[in-house]
Amino acid sequence: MAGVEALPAAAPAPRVKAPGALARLLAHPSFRWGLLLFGAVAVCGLLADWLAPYDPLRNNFRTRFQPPSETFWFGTDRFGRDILSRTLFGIQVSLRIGLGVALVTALVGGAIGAVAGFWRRADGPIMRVMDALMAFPAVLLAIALAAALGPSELNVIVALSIAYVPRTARVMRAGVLVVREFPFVEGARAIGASPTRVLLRHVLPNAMAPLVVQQTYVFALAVLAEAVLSFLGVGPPPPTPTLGGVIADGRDFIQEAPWISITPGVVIALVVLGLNLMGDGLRDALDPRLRTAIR
Amino acid sequence: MSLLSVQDLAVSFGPTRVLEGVSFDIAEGEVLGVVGESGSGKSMTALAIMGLLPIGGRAAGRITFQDRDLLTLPERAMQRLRGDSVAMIFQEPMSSLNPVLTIGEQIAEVLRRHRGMRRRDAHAEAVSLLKLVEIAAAERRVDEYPHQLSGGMRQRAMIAIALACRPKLLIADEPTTALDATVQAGILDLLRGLRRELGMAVLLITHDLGVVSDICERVVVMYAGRVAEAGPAGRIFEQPAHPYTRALLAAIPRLEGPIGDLPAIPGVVPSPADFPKGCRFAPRCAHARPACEVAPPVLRALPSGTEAACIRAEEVS
Repeated sequence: MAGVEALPAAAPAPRVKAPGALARLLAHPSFRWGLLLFGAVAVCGLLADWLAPYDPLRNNFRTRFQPPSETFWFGTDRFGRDILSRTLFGIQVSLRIGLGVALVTALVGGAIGAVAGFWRRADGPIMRVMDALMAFPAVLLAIALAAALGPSELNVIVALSIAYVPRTARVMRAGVLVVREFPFVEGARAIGASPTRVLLRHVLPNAMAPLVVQQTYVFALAVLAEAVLSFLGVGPPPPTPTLGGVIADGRDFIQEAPWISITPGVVIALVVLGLNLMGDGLRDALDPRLRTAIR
Repeated sequence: MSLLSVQDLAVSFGPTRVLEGVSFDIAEGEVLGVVGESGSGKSMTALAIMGLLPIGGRAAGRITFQDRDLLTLPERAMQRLRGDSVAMIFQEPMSSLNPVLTIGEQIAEVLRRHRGMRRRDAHAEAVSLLKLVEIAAAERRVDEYPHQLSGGMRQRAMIAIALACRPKLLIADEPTTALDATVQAGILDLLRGLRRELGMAVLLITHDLGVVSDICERVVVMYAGRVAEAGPAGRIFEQPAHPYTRALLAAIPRLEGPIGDLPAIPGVVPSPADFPKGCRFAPRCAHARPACEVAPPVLRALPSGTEAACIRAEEVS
């Protein structure tokens, strides 16, 4: 070894840069499709203020139940409000809620799972509480919480976060349980790092990948669940346009005016599909070993 | 005056004692080899000194380092000690470095933890440490990640981390086992040079007697959680007193002489749950007598210059 290293470095070997995670991601077909779908919907939502042809809240009794036409591309509802405009603004609300839930569960669930996985004594009590939460169907729990907290966008985020935290905590705990046994963790202890430091600097960064992937699914689940809550009337209060709310508006007229529910329904499907495809791509990029096994 | 003194160390997991009656001293600047088969308790001894026994492990006895009993030291004080005056390197250079941090960041972590260095100073010191462990192009390597280094370079980086705070005692747990033979020689050369340069004591754990004869001054031979024989390396290799040591030495292949079957020790090391009552080596020993199975033999000084735990040591050697 010493001899080999001592050789004059006359011709340094060309250093081939391995493709980074981002390049791998963008090369992944399902991630690209997912990004395209999700990105297109998200951009529409973000630009709703400019793209929406009408005020999503303004009633107009002369234009009630208009089928799709040149004036109203996707028709109008029973108050004469433009479905396209309502859907565009609904995307904003839905994505805010989805992102909020994904972030909150990542922070709270990640912290809970990390503590449970790292400190064995905390594991039992914490995970029993998580199991108890998980025993309720997530959507049912969210409905109960949202109903108890009262209808508002923030309360929907809170309710859905509580409902989905156990999943995030479990994923994080599983990752920490694996990583804590790696020799470099013992190595970190051997240089005098405190347990907190070992967890934050050495264990967590190596246990993050499954959580990142999981959160894309939680995002999608939250968008779906928000639609369910709005549909049942415990979402953000009307007349706030939300995707689930617009579907609910069309519920009673599904025979006569199906366009009311179809448009936001298709958008939800696109968002969820896009997020799931992105999640698959992310998983493959973060754990290349899994890739061949899945295809 | 010894730097580290281990007296009557015992380690148990629940009712199972994996280590008992282990005693040895290391003087300042001395290289002590701890030899034994897998399962003899070498690594447990090292982890007990570091206070890093796996969950459920309990250590009893006394481990005195610089006049402090490490077994009664509070965890906070142990954290200040680890990586500072006592450092450890591990067997697996492939997985003993954090894959998401650069080599420099990992060396800097020790310096910032124990020396309170600033980021920039620690980075500069990391470069000079990499030079110390003879890594070529240290300025570039310092910002690379572990996967970009070869096994030998990773072990050198591990050594650099261990040496960052100039420890008084370096515990090396099989530092060369996972490496190619040529790389092994390089690492051993490095360790030998560094300990002379820095004047640190080294506790070298290995199952490779060649490594021991290469750099150790004194040797402790362990078998099934007890010390079988201890003494100056030269004496042990020339005149081993314990039948286990003799059998180990006989099992080393030789370059010269006729080619024959390599003598092997029959059987395996018993598991801690069913250690024999008397001498633990007796069931595998060619010289065992009924008396050997009555009580565990005590370590006693022999005229040959070593200490051995064998009641028939004089007759055998």
